[in-house]
Parts: sequence; C-alpha cells; structure tokens
Amino acid sequence: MAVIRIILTTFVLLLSLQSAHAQAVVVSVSPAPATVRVNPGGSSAITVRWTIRLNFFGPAAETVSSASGVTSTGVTLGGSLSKRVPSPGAGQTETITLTERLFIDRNTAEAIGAAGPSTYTRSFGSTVATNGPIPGTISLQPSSGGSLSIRNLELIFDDDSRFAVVESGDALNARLEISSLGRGSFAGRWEVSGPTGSAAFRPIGRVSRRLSGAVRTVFESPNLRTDRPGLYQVRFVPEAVTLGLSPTPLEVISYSVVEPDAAEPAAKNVNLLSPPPGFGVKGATRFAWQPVPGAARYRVEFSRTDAVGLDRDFLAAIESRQTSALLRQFTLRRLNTETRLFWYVVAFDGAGTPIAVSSKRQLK
Amino acid sequence: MQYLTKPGLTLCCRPRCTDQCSISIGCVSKNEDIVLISGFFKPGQNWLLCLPFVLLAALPARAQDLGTISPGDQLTLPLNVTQLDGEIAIEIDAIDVTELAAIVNGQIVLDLGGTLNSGSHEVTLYLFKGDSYRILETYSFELSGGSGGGLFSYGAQATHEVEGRRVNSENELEGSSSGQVSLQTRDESFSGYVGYIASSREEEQIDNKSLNVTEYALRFQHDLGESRVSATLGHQTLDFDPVLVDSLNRRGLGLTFTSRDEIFRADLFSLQTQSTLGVENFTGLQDRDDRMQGARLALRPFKRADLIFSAQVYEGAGALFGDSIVGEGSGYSFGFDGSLRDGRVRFGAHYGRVWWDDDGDGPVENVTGDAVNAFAEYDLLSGEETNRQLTVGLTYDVVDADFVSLTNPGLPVGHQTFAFSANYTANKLYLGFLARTQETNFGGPDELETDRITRLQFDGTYDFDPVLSFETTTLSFFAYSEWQRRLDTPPMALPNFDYLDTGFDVRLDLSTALTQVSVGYGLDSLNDQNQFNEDELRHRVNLSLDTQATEALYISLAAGSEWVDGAFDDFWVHDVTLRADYQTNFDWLFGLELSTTQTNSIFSEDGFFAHLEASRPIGKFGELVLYGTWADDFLAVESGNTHDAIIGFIFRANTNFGR
Repeated sequence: MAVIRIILTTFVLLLSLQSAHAQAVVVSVSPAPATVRVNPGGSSAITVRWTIRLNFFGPAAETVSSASGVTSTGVTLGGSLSKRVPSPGAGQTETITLTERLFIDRNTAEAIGAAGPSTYTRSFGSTVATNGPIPGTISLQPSSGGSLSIRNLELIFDDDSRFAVVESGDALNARLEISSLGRGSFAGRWEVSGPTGSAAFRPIGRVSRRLSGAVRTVFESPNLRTDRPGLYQVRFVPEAVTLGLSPTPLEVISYSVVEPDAAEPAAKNVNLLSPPPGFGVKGATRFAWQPVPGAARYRVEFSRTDAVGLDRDFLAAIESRQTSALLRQFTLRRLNTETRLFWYVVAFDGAGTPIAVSSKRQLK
Repeated sequence: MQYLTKPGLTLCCRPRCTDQCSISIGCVSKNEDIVLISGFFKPGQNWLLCLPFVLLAALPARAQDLGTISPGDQLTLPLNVTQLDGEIAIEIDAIDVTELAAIVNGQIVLDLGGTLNSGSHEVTLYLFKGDSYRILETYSFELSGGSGGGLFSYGAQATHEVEGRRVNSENELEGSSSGQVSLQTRDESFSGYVGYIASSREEEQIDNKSLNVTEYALRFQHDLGESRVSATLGHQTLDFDPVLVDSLNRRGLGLTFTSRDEIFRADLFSLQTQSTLGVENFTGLQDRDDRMQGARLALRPFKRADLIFSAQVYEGAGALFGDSIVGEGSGYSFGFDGSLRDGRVRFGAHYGRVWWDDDGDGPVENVTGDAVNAFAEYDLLSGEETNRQLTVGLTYDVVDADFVSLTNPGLPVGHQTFAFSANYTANKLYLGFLARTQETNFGGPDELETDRITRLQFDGTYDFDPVLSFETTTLSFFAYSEWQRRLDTPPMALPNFDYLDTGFDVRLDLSTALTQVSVGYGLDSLNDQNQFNEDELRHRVNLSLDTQATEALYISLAAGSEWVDGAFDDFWVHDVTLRADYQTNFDWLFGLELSTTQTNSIFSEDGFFAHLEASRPIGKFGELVLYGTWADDFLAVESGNTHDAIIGFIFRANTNFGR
C-alpha cells in the first residue's frame, strides 16, 4: 500500500511539475510566402518566415520548437527551429516569427519538378503534451523563373589552379565561377586567413549582385595579400540572405607566398596604360605602357594564366623598342580561340636581360 | 564524292541515303594546301556519328634552314624584298618582331637582342596586301649557347614554418611546408612541376594527410619532322569550343598532335570529372565513375587564313555539382571560327548535342540536349588608322534545358539569347555597351512558364590628366537596367514574375608612385512587379588607401559599407581593415592589423580582430616572427569560442632557386 502511495505521489508531483513548465499552446502557424518557386534545374535555398501564435495560461516562458519539415514528395528538409518566448501574462496571446533557410538539393528539386506542385509542411509545438504540434504548409511550385539555383560552382585562382605558389609582391586574385538559373540575389564575402601567424579568416571584400535567367558569372576577389611570406587560405562565404546557397563557407583554396630568389635583383615595375582591363582581343589593338629607364626593348606577352603550371609560358608576344606595340592579325589568330587572356610587358636591357615587368592585366 | 579544282570549299552528301550517309569537305588552294576530310552519319541520329578524318593533307615544304646563330649575331633573311608589293611582317616562333627589323641591301636583318632562348627557332615572313595577308616564306635557325649549360633547368619555391603558440589556455606546436618544384629539359622535350603541402594543421591538410601533393603536371614533347606530339599527365586546362569542352581544369592525361604549321591538330584526353588535389587517384584515371574521355580534331585548311574547323566528342561518368549520384553522358560538337580583313572581322559558330543518363541503370529517363553558339565581331574603326577603335559584335546562344555535359559543367542551360555589344576606345576613354535578350525555359518542360529577360549595360573608364600630385586618375563606371516580361503561362504555372532591376557603380582610382586611393559607390534597386513584391534596395560604399607613408612606414586601409532594404531583412554591414608595417633600422619589422565587422543583420554577427607582430631576418633565408592576436565573435575562429587570445612565435625559412 505504501508503495502504491509513493508511486501516486510521485506521479502527481511529476504532473504538477509538467504543468508548472507548460505555459502556452501553439494555436496557429502561418508561413510567408505561402507559395515558393522551386527551380528544378539545380540546388536552391529559400527563406521562409513562420509566424506562430501562442495562447499563454501561465506567467512562465514557453519554448516553441519544430524538429524538421517534410515535403509531399517524402523528403525531410530543414533543421531544428526553436525559440523561448517570455509570457505576456496568463490569458494573453503572443505572436513570434521564426525564419528558416530551406536548402533544397538538386535531387529534391528535380523530384519536385517531376512531381509538379508540391508542399512543404512543418509542425510547431510547445511543451504542452495535450496540445499536439500545429502544422503549417507552404506550396512548392516548380518554375523556370524560380529561386536562384546553382548548377555549377568553382573556386580557383586566376591561373586556373587550386593551389598557387607566388613570390611576395606578385599579383594574385581568386575567382568564383558560378553557373545559375532562376532569379535571386547573390551576396557574400571574400575571406582570407594567413599568413600562418594570423590564421583567422577576415573579410577582404563583399559581393552582391542580382542574377536572373541562365547565366555564367565570374566574381573576382580583391587583390590577395602577398606582401608577407607564408601559407594563406581563401574562401567565399555566401551571405545568409543569398537565395541559392546555404550560408556555409564554400571550399577553401590555399596559396603559398615565398620570398623572391635572393640571387635575382628586385624587378622594377612597368606601368601599363592601355587597353583597359576586359577590353577583349581585337584587330589592330595598340598596347601602351610607360617607359622604363635603361630599357632597350620591350616585349608584350600574352598568356592564358597568371603564373603557375605548365601553361605559364606566353602564347604569343610582340617585341618593340617603343613604348607601344600593335596587335597584328597573325598574333590575333593565336589568341582568338582563348577564352581567358592576360597581357603584361617585360622590359629588357641591351643585353637581353629582363629588368622590369608589369602586373598582368586581363584582356578577356 | 566531289572535288573542287579551284580554290574554295565544297560540301557534298547523298540526301536520300537509307541507312548511312556520307559527307565530305574538300578544298584546294592556289598555293600548296590540298585537304580532304570525310565522315558519315545515320538517319534518325540527325548528325555526324563519327568524326571527320583526314584522308590527305599535303603539307607545305620544309622551312629553309639558316644554320646556327650566336646570341649576339644579327639574323639575315636571304630574300630580296625590294620587289615585293605590300607590307612585310615577321614572326619568330610566336613573337611578332616586325618592329625590330631593318632592310639592308634589300634583305631583312633582325637584331635578336639576346631575348631568345638557345635552341631551334622558326621565322615566318608575312606579306600584307590591303586587308589580306599570306605567308611568304618560313626559315629555321639554331641559336647556340647563351643561357647556360646542362640538360636540365630546375627550380624550387617553398616556404617552411615552425610555429609555437598559446590559444587562450592551450599550447600548440605546429609546422608546415608548402611550395613546388619544377624541372625542364633545355630542349623542352620534358617539363613538369609538382606542388606539395605538408602541415600538422588539419585545416590546411588535403584529405587529412599531413603530406600531400597539390597540383602537378608532367609534359613530354616530341618533334616528328614538321609536326609535334605532346603528352601531359596531371592538371591541365581545356578550352576547345564554347559548347562541349570549355573552361575545364582537371587532372588526367592529354595527348596533342600538332602539325608544325598548325594546319592540323588532334587532341585526346581522359580526365577526372571533379576538380581535386592530393595523391588519391593520382593520375586522374583510376576511378571509372569519375572519368571522362574525348577527342578533338581541328583543321586550318587555308594556310593564309585562320579559318579553323573543329570537331569534339566525349563520353564519361561522374556526379554533377550538387549530386551524389553518378550519371553517364556523351556528346559531340563541331564548328568553325576565323577572321577576315586583317582580323577586323571575327566570327565563329559551334553546334553540340549531348546525351545524359542521371542515374546509370536507374529509373530516371535519359535526356538529350542541343546547343548552338555563334558570334561575329567587326572593328568599324581600327586603331591602326585612327588611334581610335570601335568594335561591334553579335552573339547568338541557344542551349536546351537538358544540355548536360561533364566537359562543360558551367554552361548555362535552358535559354535562347541574342546579344549585341559595342566597344569604343580612344586615347584615354573606353566605353562599352551590351544589349542582351534571353528567352528562358528553352527546351524545358512544357508545364513551366517562359519569360523574356532583357538587359542593357553600359560601362567605361576615363584616364584623366595628372590631378594634383596623382600621376594617374581613372574614373570607372558601370550601369545596367534589366527587366523580365512573361511570354507564356501554361495552366499550372504561377503568374508572372516580372521585375525591373536597375543599378550603377562609380569608382575613382588615383595613384602616385607611393600611394593608391580608390573610392567607390554602388546602388542596386529591384522593383518587383509581381505578386511577391520582393522589392530590394542596396547601397554600397568602398574606400581603400595604400601608401608608403615614409621610407619605413607602409599603411593600408580598406573600408566598405552596405545598406540593404530587403524583402525579408533590412540590415547594414560595415567592414574596416587597417594594416601598418614599420621597418626599423635595426632589422625588426613591426606589423599591425586591425579588422572589424559590424552588422545588425539577423543572419550575421559583429567581429573584431587585432594582430600585432614583430619579425626579423635570421640568416639569408630565415625569419623569426613574434606575434599576438586578439579576436572576438565573428572573427574568432581559432578556438571555437567567442573570443581568442593568441600569442606565438614562428620560425620561417624560404627556398627559392632556379626556375
């Protein structure tokens, strides 16, 4: 008898403890937007704002939570969402908003495209066991003009490498190439860590651009730091508001900065004048630069990459004693088929020894 | 089969073939080019099933040998040019040396000037007449000695570090070494490089290995008379055509055959489909589910023109971006490009077809896609005549939504696009204009809507005369307007997503020999003209300053701010980074970096970073660095807490020789 009494007492105590914590019930869940466009052509991410209304019957705070959501095609999406809500007072109603970044991978997007209009449902509940979770549902509409979807993405250096070795003072940039469908804002930041002693990633530039339709877009990083030797890392982090990517850092690529060969004197700079960056390869283009003291001749060199690898050699060149040179047709022929081109100028003394070099300027 | 008996090009095929058709392209020039290519195709497959192959290519005569020349000598070309009608241009290998030539006693004399490497070289003499040109003669010569003896040249560039530090309350000792070594034979029959990274820090390792290779490439070249064969193992870039094989940088094996006069070129490749580093699958050929192979044939039938015909094929298996399932695909493409009128007219067109099976033997249906890319450009004004240049261009691009190619994964799909461009340059002015219109969902599902996106874009730069003490002052601008209009709304599709998007960027760059300043402002405004009404307004401001303030003090400041009035979040974000280096006259270099990011966005957080270091050389190749770092919140990433306090030392050594 005593045992039964103890059990009953414990049970009552537990119930009273439960009711002490259970202070509110979820009465409604409404998502915004109610309809979301999903591009079946690639992975995408969608921002959903869930508005949840609670009825409080006690003075203590209550926690609203949802473990995950599910699509009508049977795929579980999204992580745990929860928020602790202070009580406005017994008998009062409180409305809260939870924002979710819903990442839809390419397979799920394709399945929705094949299935046609689908739904995504997420249920929110409080700690009150007697009142089950309340569902909210959004419509997923396959659409060619839907959320920005990424079909391909590559993070590389300007010379097409994914690991660059450069001498201190050399110019180096990273490139993010994305191929996208649909429409949305693409925003994020370039971050660099290093040299080794200062390993934390710091933002060095931000990017924001709206993308629409089927496009290939190249984002060039700001000049990467190469003034100090050591090992560096570069990454691009999409902003959470970017439609199309999860807000986690993309792949990291590394570069190593070494001191110049001590046996070689420090090279002087050649300042380029024209044509401007991105001018393209056109017939009879005149390339111009500022004179270098002591130079007997100059060579305009064209390369498809920056510095590293077997393709570091120039594709074609023009030599001149003047501070400008003209692009003739046979040189143009060698360059026409290249999709990416840089040009730079090397100055030689009378013995043919290089005495100065310019930075590389992108032609196309 | 039909041949031409005068210069030109013919295309013949039997139009009523039953199970197999033949196609032939032949040409005969007045000079010495006789080329015939042939292939066949099957009805129902629409286009070529097998690549054209060369039946006959009568190559030109060998270049005239001028013997061995010493580096300081002048090179005289044994041709009397006084009777020639037209202008002469001269090329050594791929270097235009026309401006270094003089005519002495009716013959061309070249001052080599010591800039050429030792070894064999080829001289090409061009005769320009009006808008056309032709190769007049070719010569070869051997340049002796000059650049050092030995069979090989080699080099190594690397940095090595040992670091001891205390992160909050934990002590760490780390080490790393990274760089690359290269080797090349003097005759260029072999060249190669291997990069590596060795590190005890997990975040720097490749595949969690403390020592691993990064990128590498080994290339062998062999001359076969007038032709050259090369094989490359390792990382290589392929840009064959804009449709099927483009912007591809992968690891694997590539073989290239090139006739010395570039009349004919053949490529074979077998590459990984994924971009990777490390020793895993070192050759790039070891994983059947991550490999693609293909070929290209390119033909320049007219020796005096740069018209090039090319054809590409590929097949392979791999996972697409964002996919975990291995699919299988294949495809082909062919096309041409070239130029006319001394390069003032440039043109090209390529067509491709691909097949893609998303899940191998799985239930997903196979898809087929077609793509066409064509362009033409014309220099209305040529810089040679007027010092001003105006170029106009037209581009047509159409790619089916199901065009999936492992060899061109970045090709945008599902659109038909027309574009017009115009570029103008004068001495200090550059102006660019682009008008583009794109129809979406091209070749896509019928139940999806179709829109038209039109974009106008205008950009330019102007170099001012020196202002105050600034040697160069450049103003750059970029402006655009883009709008979308609905073309077709199928029954189940959503209503229109019309919008108008406008924006601009303006930037001013000023520089002296010691100081560079850049100031920029940008604005983007989206007017959503549909039911979602997701209007957005963004403002951006950027400022950067780099200056060698004194002989000992260098300062760099970068600041950027953005204000966003968005559909889901209104926020601002500010970033500021200040760096200063001070070189003392007792060998110590002091460096300071301060960085902060501030935002009110619900998706991000504030951060602060401060780093102070002192370094000095140790011997000829070494360096000692003492440092302390303080980081908070967003910029504290070392310990995983919200705050990092780090002190440490680094001993760094450097390797750099050869190259």
